[in-house]
Amino acid sequence: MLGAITDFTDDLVGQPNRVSDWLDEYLPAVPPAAYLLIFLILPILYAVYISFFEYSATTIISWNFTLEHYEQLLFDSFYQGLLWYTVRLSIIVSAFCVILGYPLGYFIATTTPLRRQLALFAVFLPLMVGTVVRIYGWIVLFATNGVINTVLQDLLGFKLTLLGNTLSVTIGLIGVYLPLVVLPVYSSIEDIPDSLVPAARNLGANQLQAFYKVTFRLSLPGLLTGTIFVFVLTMNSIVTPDLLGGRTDLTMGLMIYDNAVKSLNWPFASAVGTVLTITTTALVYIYFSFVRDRMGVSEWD
Amino acid sequence: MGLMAIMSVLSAVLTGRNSRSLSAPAVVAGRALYYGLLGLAVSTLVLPIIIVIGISLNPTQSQAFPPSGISLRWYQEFLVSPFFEPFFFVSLPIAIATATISTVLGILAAYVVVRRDVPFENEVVMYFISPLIIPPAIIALALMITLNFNFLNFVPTSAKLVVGHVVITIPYTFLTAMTAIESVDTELVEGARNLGATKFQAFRKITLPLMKSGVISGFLLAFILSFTDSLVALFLSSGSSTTLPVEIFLFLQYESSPLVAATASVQILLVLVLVVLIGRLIGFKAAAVSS
Repeated sequence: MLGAITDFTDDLVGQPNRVSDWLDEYLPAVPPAAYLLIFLILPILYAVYISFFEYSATTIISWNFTLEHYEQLLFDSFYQGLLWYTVRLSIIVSAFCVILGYPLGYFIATTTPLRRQLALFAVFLPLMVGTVVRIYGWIVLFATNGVINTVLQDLLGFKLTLLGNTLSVTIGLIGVYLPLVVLPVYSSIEDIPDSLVPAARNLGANQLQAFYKVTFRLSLPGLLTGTIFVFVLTMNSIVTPDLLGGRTDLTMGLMIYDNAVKSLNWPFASAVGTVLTITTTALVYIYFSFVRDRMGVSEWD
Repeated sequence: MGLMAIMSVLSAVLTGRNSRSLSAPAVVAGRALYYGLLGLAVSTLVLPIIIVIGISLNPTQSQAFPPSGISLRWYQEFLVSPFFEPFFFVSLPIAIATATISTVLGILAAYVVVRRDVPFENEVVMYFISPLIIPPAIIALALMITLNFNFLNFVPTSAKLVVGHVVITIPYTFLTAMTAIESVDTELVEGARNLGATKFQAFRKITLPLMKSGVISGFLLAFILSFTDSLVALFLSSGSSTTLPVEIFLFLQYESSPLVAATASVQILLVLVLVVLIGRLIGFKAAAVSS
């Protein structure tokens, strides 16, 4: 009876103020939420929208509906090759980032505190220093009269063309994105309870089996996060392929940059961006479900 | 289960039979592979930076490494070079403005997510870290197209750069602020409220001071990311509002010289100091995991 009365009065007090209560509760989050809506979500939707209209040399966009950008991107063999090159490059870079990044992440998680600090610093600093500066280091290393070629010339008497090809782009991208695999791998290995590996060893597993069945499996979420980051960013990379690649090795990202900034063909640039995003998302989804099914990892947080 | 089969065959080969330990040669080979990969990974990360700093110390025009002598000539040239202005009068103010706005927005979002009972909390968190998931090239393209509406002509380029950089840095300030607010004891806030403080007073006098190191770290992260960003700036820079990384990028397309190395080294040193500061405030692990 009393409950019914208070329920009733609560409703009377609460009802007229529901909107203002809601505002009072969530008001602080409105500016950041609105900011991302106005400067992230809406611009992306607008970019997708204009990719369906014609390009005009004078007004950039002429408002005639067309699907020609997508036809060109999907059926022209040049653009098919470009997409395939970008996908292949991203897979290779992600694979090498795993091969090099996993041991480093494992090392950081299992070593002494002092070495861990130093190694974390060596991973975190390059990540923060910025792409252009690190790529400059690779340019000096790979240039015709660069560090490697000088050594080769002195020792063996010949030089190699190291700059301006797929190899230099691949190495540069691996260097730039390696920290993105190391850090999540480190943090997921560190979260594994210390007793699990000794327990597996006690139960008769050798080092390799204990590593594969305990450590590796439990670090999969971190490894997965890392590879997805590397894959997505390599698919969209612009600065590294521009500076280290010859202009024959075009990526989809460079195609966006050239069309958007240099030739101001925004509808086509947006169409490239849309195709790239859909392809990337589809491949990431396939990879994600493949790993989840194969490795028997059922819990993700 | 193919991988499993390979692993059991592999360990049988390496141990001889179903033994608990690997054979001695297998252990040696495994260690060699492990340390080899470690060395390769660390040098891939560190080598370019060491080379840039080395080149910048060259006394001559040559880009030889190791440098033929040690001189600060190129650092002096930096002070009169075309890189000086983008460094101090474009990149630095943009990074400070970006970090300030991004920190405020990040704290506001984090405060609501942590302290209030938010429906669909995971989705809300995803929304605030979405700039991390959407590739920067797409963000930059979309912003460039949108911010070039005719009616936005009066907006200066540097303001557009700040807008873009705030978008890409919000996830970092949001995540560091979230960790920081979570670490503040709610009983202290309730105590202050009991003693008559308003919600805002309690936040300003109790929560904010206690989460200070997290806030500063988020600010520094946003500052560094804005200062070193080349991708968003590549799309939004123009004319005299070209940031330092874009200036270096454009320069490197045609030539390179120890002058770029010196400029890059100044950038490296600035980032290094800030990274050490972040490490002292919240530790590399916290910073790294949130990024």
